[in-house]
Amino acid sequence: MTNAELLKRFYNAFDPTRPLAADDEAYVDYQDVRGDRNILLEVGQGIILSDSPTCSLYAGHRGAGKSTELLRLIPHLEDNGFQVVYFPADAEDIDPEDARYTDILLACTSRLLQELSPDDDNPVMRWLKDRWQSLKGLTTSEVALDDLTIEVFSTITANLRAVPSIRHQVRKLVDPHTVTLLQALNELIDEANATQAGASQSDIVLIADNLDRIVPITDTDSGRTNHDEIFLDRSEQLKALHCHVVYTVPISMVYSSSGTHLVDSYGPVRVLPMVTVRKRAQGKRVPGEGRPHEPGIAGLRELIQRRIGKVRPDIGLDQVFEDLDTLDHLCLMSGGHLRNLILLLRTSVERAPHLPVPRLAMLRAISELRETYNRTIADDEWVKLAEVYSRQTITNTDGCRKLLFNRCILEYREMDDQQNVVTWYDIHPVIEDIPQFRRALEEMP
Amino acid sequence: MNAPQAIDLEPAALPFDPLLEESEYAALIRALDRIDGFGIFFVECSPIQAERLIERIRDDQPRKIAAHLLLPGPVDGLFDRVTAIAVSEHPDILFVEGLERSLVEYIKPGFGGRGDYYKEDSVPRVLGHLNLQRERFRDCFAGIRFVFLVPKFALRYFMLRAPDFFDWRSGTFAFSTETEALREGSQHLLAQYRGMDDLVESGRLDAVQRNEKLLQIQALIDEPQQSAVYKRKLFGRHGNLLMILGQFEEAIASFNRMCVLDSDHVVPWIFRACALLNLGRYEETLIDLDRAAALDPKQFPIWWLRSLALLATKRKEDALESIDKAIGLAPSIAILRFYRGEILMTLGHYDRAVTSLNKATKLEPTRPEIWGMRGDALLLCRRYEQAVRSYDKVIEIAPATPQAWFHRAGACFNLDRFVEAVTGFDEALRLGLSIGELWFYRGVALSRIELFEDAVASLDKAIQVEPSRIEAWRERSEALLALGRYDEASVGLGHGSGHLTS
Repeated sequence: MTNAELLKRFYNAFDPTRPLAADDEAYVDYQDVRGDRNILLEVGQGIILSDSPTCSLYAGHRGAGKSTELLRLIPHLEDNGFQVVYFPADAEDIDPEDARYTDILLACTSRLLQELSPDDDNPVMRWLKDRWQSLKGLTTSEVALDDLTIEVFSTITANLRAVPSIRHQVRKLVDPHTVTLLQALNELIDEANATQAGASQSDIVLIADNLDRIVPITDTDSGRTNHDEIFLDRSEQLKALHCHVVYTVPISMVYSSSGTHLVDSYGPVRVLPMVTVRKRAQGKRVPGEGRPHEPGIAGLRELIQRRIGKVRPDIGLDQVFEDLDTLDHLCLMSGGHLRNLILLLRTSVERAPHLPVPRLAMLRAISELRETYNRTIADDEWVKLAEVYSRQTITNTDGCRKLLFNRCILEYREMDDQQNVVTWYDIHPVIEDIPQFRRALEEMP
Repeated sequence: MNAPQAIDLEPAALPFDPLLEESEYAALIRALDRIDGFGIFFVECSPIQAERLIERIRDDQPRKIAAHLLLPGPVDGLFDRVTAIAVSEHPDILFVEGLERSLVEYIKPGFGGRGDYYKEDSVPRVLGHLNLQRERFRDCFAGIRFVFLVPKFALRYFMLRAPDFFDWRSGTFAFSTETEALREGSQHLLAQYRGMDDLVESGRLDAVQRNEKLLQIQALIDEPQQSAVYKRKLFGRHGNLLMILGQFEEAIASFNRMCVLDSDHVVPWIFRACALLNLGRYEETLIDLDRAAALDPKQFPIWWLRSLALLATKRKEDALESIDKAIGLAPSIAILRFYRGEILMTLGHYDRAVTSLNKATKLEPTRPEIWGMRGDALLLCRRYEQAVRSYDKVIEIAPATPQAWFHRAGACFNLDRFVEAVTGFDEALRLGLSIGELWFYRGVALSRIELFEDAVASLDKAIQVEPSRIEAWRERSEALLALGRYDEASVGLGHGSGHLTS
C-alpha cells in the first residue's frame, strides 16, 4: 500500500457517521473510565429481571456513543429471549419543527405492526376499521374498508411528514382517539406476548432512539419547551405500553428544571458519561489545573490503535503520527467525547499531506474544533462556563441547559475510594484556551 | 518512454486565484479525494467564492461528477431535491448553495447580537429536517460527498439548530480571503468617515486597551442622564470598536440601538450594513443600504458597500455600476479604484482593471496591496515585464510579502528568466509560503536551467503537498530521465491520475 492509499484508508477509518455494530472489533469498553457505567447491565438487567413492563429513559451527549451502546444492547436482550424492536426516529416519523406525542405514538404503532407482523385482523387494524369513517381522509388514495392493510397505517404516518396542513389534519383526527389506539396497541402486544413460546410477562422491547434529536423549541409565553410537552405532559401514556420501552431523551432536559419531574415520572434517567480524560480537581479549581487521567487517555489511544489496526495490523501509532505527545494532547482535547475524538483524527489526517501525520496537522485540528465551540457560545455564557470550570458542578437551572445541549459542558463519572459513584462536570477542554473564557475566569469573584 | 519534451505552460495555468487560500483548498481536495463516498463538508464562503471554488474543483477533479444544487429561495427540505439529482446525474460531489435563504425568516427581527439572533420559538424547517434525516442521507446517498457552501451566519445557524447533522461533518473549511479584504475595507471606511478620527487610533490599541475602551463607552451609555444624541454617537463608537475586533454580530446589536435612536440619520444604516456585509448577510446589507440611499444618496460608502455586496452575490455588472457611482462621489479615494479593479478582474476585463489600478497607485502610491493587485492584473494581461515592476513596488514598500515574491517569480518564469524566478520562489519560501504550486513551478524552473537534482527535490515537495497535481509527476519523471534515473522515472506515473501512462 502506498503512502497515499494508507492515508485514504486511515481517513475512512475515522468516520463520524457510523456507530459501531454490536460485534465490531474496534469497540473499546470504557466501563472503567465512565464511572462504571455499563448500559448492558443497567438497562439490560432491569428489563431481564423485571416481571412487569419497564420504561427507561436514556440520555447522553450526542456523539458520546449512545447508539453504539444501544446497538450492543440488542443482541444482549435477544440472547436472553427478547424480541427487540429498534426504531431510530427519523423526519419521516416526527416533524422536527413541531413534534408531538401523537406522532411518537403513531410511529411506535407503525414500527410494532411492521416488526410483529400480525394478521391483518388484529386489534390495531380493528381500531382503524371502527373509526374508518372519520379517519379515511388520512390517505390520499381511495381505500375501501375491506382493503385496510398494515400498509395503510404506514401511509398515515408518512403523511405526518408532509405539508403542515395535512399534519394538523392527521393530529386533529387521531388526537381524540389516542386512548383507544393505545389500548388497541396494548392488545396487539398482549397477543404477541401470548403467542411467543415460553412467554413470561413481556418479551418485547421497544427501543426508540433519536428522540433526543428533537431541537428544543421554547414557547415564548409559557417558557415551556416542546420536550416538556412530550416527556412530562404525556408521561403516563409513554409509560403505558405493555412492553418494555427505552426512550432516548435530550440530555439538556435531564438537567433543566424539568429534570426532577422527569425522575418523579420515570425513575432515574441513565446518562452515558464521557470518558474521563482529566483528573477532577480537589476543592475549588485553580486555572490550568486538571492533569490528564492516564487510564482514560490510554483508553482513547486504544480506540485509535484498533481503528488503525483494522487498516494495517502491523503498523504502530508512532508510524502514523509524527508526535505521540501531541496525540495524547489531542485525546485530552476531545474531552473524552468519542465523536469529537473521531472528528479530530479525521481533520488531522485531512490536514496531512503525507505520513506520518505532522504535529502541526493535529494542532490545526484542535484549533478548528476550538473555533467551532467558540462560535456556539453566546456572550452571557462565558461566566457560566467559568463557574462550571472552577466548581466542577452545575446548578440545576436552565442556564446550563443550552450549554449541555451544545456539549460545552460535559458530564463525567468516577468511583471514589468507598466505591461511590461521583458525578461531576467540566467545560469542554478546548474552551479553556479561548480568550473570552480566560477573561471571564479572571473576572470571577 | 519518449525523450523529455517541453510542456506547454500557458500563462493561464499560472497560479492565480487570490481569493482561494491554497492550503485550505488543498485540504478540501484531499478530503474529497480520500473519503469513501458519503460525507458532509461545510465551506464558509460568499457566493462569488463559491462560484470560483466549484469551477476550480471541477477542473481539478475531472474524473468526479460534480453536481450543483442551487437553492434560489427558501425550501422546507432537501431530501427530494437531492434524490432527483442523484437519479439523473449520479454525482460524486454535490455542491449545495443558497441554503441561507431558508434561514433568513427565522432571524429575529432587528437582527440582534450574538447569542440571540435566532428565534428560540422555532427552528427553520430545513434544518429540523436535516437534523432528523442524517441517517437517511447517509444510507440513500452513499456515494455523494455533500459540500454545503454557506456564509458565516448560516454556518453558525447550522451549529446551533441542526447540531446532530452538523456533528457528522467531516470538515469545515473557510475561504476567508475576501472577508479579510472586507474587514480591511471596513476599517478603511471607518477611518475615512468623518467624525470617526478616534477610530484610527483605536485600531492601534491592544486587546486589553480596547476592552477597557468598550467598557468606558458602555458605562457612559448606561448613565441615566445621558442625552439621546450622545447615546447615539456612543453606540456608534461601541459598534465600530466591535467591528475592529471582528465581533460583527455584537456590533450589529449596538448599531440596532443606534438605528432605533436615530432612524432618520444615514450613518447608523451604513454602519449596520457594513457589519452585516462582513457576516455574509448580503440581502439584509442591501436592504439597509437602500434605506440609507433613500435618506442621503450622496454618501459614497453606500455605493461602495453596495458594490461589495453585489459582487459577493455574483451580480458583477451591478457591482461595477455601483462602485462607479461611489467613485463619482469621491474621485480621490484610492481604495474605491482598488475595488473597481478587483470587480473588473472578476469580470475578466483585465486591461480595464489595469487602468483603474493605475489611477489608484497615483492617488495612493504607498499602498502595497494596490501594487500587488495591479501586478496580478498585468500578469493576467500577459504584460509580464510590467507585472514584474509592479511587484517590485510591493517589495520595495513591504519586503516581507511572500505572495508578491511568488507572483513576481511567476512573471519571470513566463519571461523565461528562470534563474530570477527561482530566486523569487526561494524568497517566498523563506517568508513562509509553502504551497504546492510554488514548489511545482520552482521545480519546473530548475529543470529549465538544468539543475535536475534540485528540480526533482522541489517536485517531490510539490507532490507531497499536493499529490493530485498531475503535471508535477510528469515533470518529475522528465527530470529523472534527464538524470538517467530511468527506473525511478516511471514511478508515480499513473499515480493519482489514471490516464498518464506513457
